[in-house]
Amino acid sequence: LIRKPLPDGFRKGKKQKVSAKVAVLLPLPPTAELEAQVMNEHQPLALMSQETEARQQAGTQAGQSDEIFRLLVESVKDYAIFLLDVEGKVLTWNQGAERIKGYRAHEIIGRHFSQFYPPEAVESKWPDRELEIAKKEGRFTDEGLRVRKDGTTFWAHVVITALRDAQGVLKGFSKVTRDLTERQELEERTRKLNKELRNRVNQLQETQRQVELRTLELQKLSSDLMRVQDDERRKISRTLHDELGQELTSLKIELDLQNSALDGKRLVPAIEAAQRSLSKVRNLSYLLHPPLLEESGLLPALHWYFDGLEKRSELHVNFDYKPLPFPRLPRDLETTVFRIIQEALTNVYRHSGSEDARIDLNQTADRLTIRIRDFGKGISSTASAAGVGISGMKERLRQLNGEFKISRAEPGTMVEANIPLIDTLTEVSF
Amino acid sequence: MTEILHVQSLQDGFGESFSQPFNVPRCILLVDDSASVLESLKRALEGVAGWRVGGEALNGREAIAEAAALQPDLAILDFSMPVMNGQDAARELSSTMARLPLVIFTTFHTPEIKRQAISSGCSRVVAKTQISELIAAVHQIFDNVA
Repeated sequence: LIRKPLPDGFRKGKKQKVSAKVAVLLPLPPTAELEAQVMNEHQPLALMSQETEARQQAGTQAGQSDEIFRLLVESVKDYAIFLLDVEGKVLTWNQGAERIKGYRAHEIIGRHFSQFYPPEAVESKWPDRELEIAKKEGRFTDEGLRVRKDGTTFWAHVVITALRDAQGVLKGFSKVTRDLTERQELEERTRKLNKELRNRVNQLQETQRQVELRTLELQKLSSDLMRVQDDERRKISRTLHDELGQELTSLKIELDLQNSALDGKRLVPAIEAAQRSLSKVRNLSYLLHPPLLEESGLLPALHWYFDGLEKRSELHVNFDYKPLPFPRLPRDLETTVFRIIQEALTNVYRHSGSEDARIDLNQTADRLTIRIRDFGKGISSTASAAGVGISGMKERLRQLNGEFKISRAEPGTMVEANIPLIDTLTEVSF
Repeated sequence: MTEILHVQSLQDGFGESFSQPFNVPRCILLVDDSASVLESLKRALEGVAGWRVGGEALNGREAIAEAAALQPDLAILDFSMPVMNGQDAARELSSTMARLPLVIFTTFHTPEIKRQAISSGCSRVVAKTQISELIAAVHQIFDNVA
């Protein structure tokens, strides 16, 4: 196509900057028929071909490199690179164009480039407008949907450049089209992934919020459980003490009376049995919940407990407290302190082998400190981690924002509980 | 309250001017929240010649009203009771009826309880199951007063 001699009329427009570059854009002709058509109808092509041919005829090196360039453009597969005449009809075609748009060269050369646009774009005369802009501004760039031969669409990046000769006469347009579908897909995929990521993050935050909420609920539940347990124990303890205990007291008094009315001996075994029952009921009641705690406060309850423990276990308890006299505290706090000391002393009695325990209870304006120390064999690390009594102490303290510490005291073990009083006094009601 | 105090002081005056003729039984106010214990204690105390349980109350609050009305020679109070416990009742009685001897009768017989009870104005603290000790304590108080 290109190498054919040109009609005379086409020769005069020679010499232009674009020629060298544009000439290489020329593909091989698809058919002889088209060839003729193009030769006759498309000035720029003819013009350039003319130069190329002239160079080739001259056998110059420039001619050879034009050929190489032509082959280069021809073989580019990633870009559709082709020429349009001034009206927008396709003049040339490369492999990239064929790959991207689906037309073979002979199918498209000579057809108007609006073929590549969706019907609605064609209807609105968008393709013509693109050429107008390119004509006016020298160049037009756009991104948009284009149609392949099979009717499918792809996302294209398009650059249309107006080609003018030295006198500024418009000779046609170059069009470089890139299929951005892949990029578009990647972007879409990135967008989707980002959206998914945002969703996941949101879900994660929601889950975290739920976990925090559940943790709070659990803490409340555990605190309720402690309270319910304390209340139940208190009720059972009261029933045992006030009802069964009083009946047994009455029985004991009656037996005493009968015994002294008789010989003062005969009922002694019965009196002793009644006394034993009474002691057992009292101890049971007391261990469940010391009645003295509510009525008389922490100190009487503790003294009562120490007395009983010393009798039962032969453990000697050395108790120091400040201030003197020791004040009444909110019920929850008194119960907590009592239970912690009870728990700790039970451990001392059961596990330490110590004969002495030392307890310091110290109340200041803003905190209450309890220290329970024994002089026995010392706590093992597993016991400190797993002890049920210890976790109970910790839970009770947590409810009062208190701290719990257990450490070796060489010899023995030191249990320390620290309770802030300002929080406790404002939060805990009687 | 002022009216009661007024009546009380009048009665106090009476009590003193006639102070215990030999043949008049000693009047005891018995306070315990358990009806069974009250019953048994009453029988035990009235078994002693020259004593009678003139009034009974089920808690500290009732005890104060009953004491004002009855003007007993002695009150025996359970330590642990609902509404008002023995210690609080003792504290109030020892200020309104200073000459009334008070005995606390308790299950919780510890030095700390004893200290608290004595500080609230009680003369004696006796373990609840030791009926003979209680009788001995009451005897001692009456002997000292007489």
